[in-house]
Amino acid sequence: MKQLADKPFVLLGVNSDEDREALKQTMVDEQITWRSWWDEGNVEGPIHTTWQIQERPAIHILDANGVIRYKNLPPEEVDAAIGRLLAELEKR
Amino acid sequence: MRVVFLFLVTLAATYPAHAEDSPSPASKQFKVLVDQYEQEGGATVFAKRFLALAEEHPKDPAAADALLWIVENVRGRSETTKALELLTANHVDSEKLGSACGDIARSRSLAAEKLLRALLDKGPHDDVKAQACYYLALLLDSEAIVVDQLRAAPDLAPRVVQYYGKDYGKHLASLKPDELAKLREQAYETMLKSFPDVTAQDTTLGKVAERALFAIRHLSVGRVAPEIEGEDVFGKPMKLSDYRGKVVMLCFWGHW
Repeated sequence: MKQLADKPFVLLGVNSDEDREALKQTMVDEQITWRSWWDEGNVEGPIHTTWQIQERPAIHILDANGVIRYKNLPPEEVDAAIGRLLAELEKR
Repeated sequence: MRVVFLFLVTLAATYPAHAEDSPSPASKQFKVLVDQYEQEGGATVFAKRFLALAEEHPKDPAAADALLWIVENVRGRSETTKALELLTANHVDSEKLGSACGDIARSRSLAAEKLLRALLDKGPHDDVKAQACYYLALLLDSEAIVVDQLRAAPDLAPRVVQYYGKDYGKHLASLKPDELAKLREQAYETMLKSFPDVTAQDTTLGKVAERALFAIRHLSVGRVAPEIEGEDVFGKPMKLSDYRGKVVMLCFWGHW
């Protein structure tokens, strides 16, 4: 992730933990700097419901126009997918 | 012990004859084959025998039983495809096909979609049509998952052809995502319009269809992601569309 720091890229989370205070502490302790939506402490929270999330972790990748380009991507394919979308963006 | 065993075998052998008035020769042959298979096993060998039976008596209801036996027991083979084709040609009227729609959808054959469509379009039984519609939609959904996987990793193509067979595998590799999305939309629209009150597990086909239509129209690859507006873990406002211009990796996570 470090080599993406100066690229037009952002990692955003949607978190479903029940215990918000514990989660805050974990994020501070483990220096998790990327932001996450709070989904009301629930895998049936409004964001999970709208997105029909069945399995977690679920990774989706959107391009710079907000278009969904990859859904439920296996972790080992994430780097290549992000690389392709960044290359596409640089070409424009 | 031996006496009891023989008695049970006799009972099993005579029971079907009493249960039906006058079984056709084809249905007798079908039962013999089923018994033989239970003793010998070997579904791929027996698929050929069931197919021969169905070809010998093409219109007999027992032919439908024989063909459905193949569909339930062997997937992705030439006999599977032949069985689906014969069911499409001769047995679309059969009420038995309703409960077989799930197996038809999972049969890994290019002929499965045609049979489900024939049942939906030409079948005389509403409950069979509803089943056909539901499993046609699920079949198209599963094809869409393969298409998405291929789009993310094109080098999977040979494995898709290996698993789904030459004809169906090549068909899957050639599917255009947009066209497939349209077919899925049509299937779920039909479900919503024609069978909304049919129950499926703990829900209705109407609800299943509405949920699926939202996913196809708003949650599919190629569609603009739905807005996410709320607050972050620390309580600060956070909105997805504020990140336009950047590639976004969206990760649903938590401790569980």
